[in-house]
Amino acid sequence: MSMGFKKGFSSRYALVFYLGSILISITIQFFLWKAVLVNKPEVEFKQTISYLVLMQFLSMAFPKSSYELNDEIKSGDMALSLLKPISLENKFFWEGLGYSLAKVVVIGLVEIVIYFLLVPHAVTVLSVLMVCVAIALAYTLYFEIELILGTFAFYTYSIWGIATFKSAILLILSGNIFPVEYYPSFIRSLSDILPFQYSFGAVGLLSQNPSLDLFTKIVLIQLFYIVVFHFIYLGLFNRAVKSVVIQGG
Amino acid sequence: MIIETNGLSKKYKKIKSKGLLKKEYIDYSAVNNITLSIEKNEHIGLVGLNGSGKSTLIKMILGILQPTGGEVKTFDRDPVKFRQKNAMHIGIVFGQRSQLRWDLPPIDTFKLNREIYRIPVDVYEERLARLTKLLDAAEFLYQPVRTLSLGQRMKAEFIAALIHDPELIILDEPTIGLDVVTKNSIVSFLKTLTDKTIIFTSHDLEEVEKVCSRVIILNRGKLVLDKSIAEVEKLDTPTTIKFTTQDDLSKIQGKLEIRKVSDSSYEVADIASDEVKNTLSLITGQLDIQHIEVKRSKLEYLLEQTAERRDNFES
Repeated sequence: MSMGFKKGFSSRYALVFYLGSILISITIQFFLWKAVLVNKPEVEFKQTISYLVLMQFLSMAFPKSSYELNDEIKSGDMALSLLKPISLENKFFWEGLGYSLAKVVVIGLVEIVIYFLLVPHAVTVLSVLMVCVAIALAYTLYFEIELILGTFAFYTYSIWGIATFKSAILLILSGNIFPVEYYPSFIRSLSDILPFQYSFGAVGLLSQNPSLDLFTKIVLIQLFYIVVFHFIYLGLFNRAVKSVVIQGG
Repeated sequence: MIIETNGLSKKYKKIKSKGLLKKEYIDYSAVNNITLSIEKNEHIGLVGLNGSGKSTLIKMILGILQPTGGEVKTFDRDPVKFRQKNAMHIGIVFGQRSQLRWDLPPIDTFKLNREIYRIPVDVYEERLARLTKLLDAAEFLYQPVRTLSLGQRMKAEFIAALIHDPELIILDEPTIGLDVVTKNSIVSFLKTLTDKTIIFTSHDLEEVEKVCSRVIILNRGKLVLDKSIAEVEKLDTPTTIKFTTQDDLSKIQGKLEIRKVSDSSYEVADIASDEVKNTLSLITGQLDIQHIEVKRSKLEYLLEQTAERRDNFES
């Protein structure tokens, strides 16, 4: 994990620029939603914008392991990773977590302050704890999705198209750009069943309506998908490694 | 026995032709029916031309490529099934790949390896100090890898590969692109590793002769020679003498078959071992020589023969 953290800090200037772009994005969203919700109560606006700041935080902090896996496969450095007495899943998880922590220190803390400034309701210790647990599981779920996508690079040698497709799916079904409540009911029902919302939108929903019932429902669904995706990844990875070709020196 | 292969083969499908909708494939044998065994503490030189199957063979031994035929055992285990378990006892340096992190100092990779290989801190410190001294690497361990020269990077790669004291060391062209001083220091270092099993591939055959006790030559995926370096030395292979002179060659022409290499540079090839002394006397006695070189690399000759056989076969 410390390798990922150090890696993040070695590119701290890049992270500062990233922070700048996020602040610009939040500013645009602030005025955009102010205009959209012009006739609505101030509470609704604050709820929406704080939700979106939280989604920005999650999008920033979540790992991009599919790209790392893809890079290793394309460069052939995968050979070295496969020859370590540690699973690729462990390697990418802990390094990714370290890198995410570095991003949280440089960028995330600013976003968290903005979130608490905007959030319209009282925040209790219990609600913070519930949201933290949901974020940890959302992170793990998202990581498993990233690993599965990255594994496709064993066959395609590039995940650019797949990653773009993933972004489109997340845009529609995860609620990380628009709150799901603004979607038509059939998309809402679909995103309720599919795993994507449980990496983003569900966490936002819990932060707005922290109740034990909702928390339990979200956590159980997250755990279910984490276990299922873990086994899907293992199956795909074991099959991919058997057919892999690492040529040329 | 550290490694044992029996009829080991690896076939790929290669694209022969590509149409708009349809591709035609042919089977390509990267490694073909190789049977060999490698004992503990042997230093094996694995040589062959580009595409001869060296890296494929190594990757099957390591368990990162699945054989399509025959079997391989590394540490008496199936290396594919027990890849992670075997990895605890293997150290690898690929000359064209790096396990160091580009944006971090080498010391961070060593510390990571300490955790991964579960090395006690005092043992790690002692090994790091020894390897750093042997490879003269103390001055750059704390500099980001991106600022290191190729030679410094390779020395750091060696430390990263050996910090867990592996039984089996795989060196796949580790000296590629290095200057002569760094190469020599790495070769000297490798010669000290007498209690390790080493598989060493390189296109520098002098290096292989210096480091290894046994040589295996591959050609088109097949094992064409497996002999100890001592046996190779005993082989009666012809010698080549290269020399540079401004003199008129008419004095010795007719007595020797001389080939012009470039301006003032000439070569007499295929000299039988009992003729070398006479030929040298003739050249140095009759001509004013500026530079002379006797090439007697047995391995180079054997490889050249392999290449010629391949060219003849292809033509």
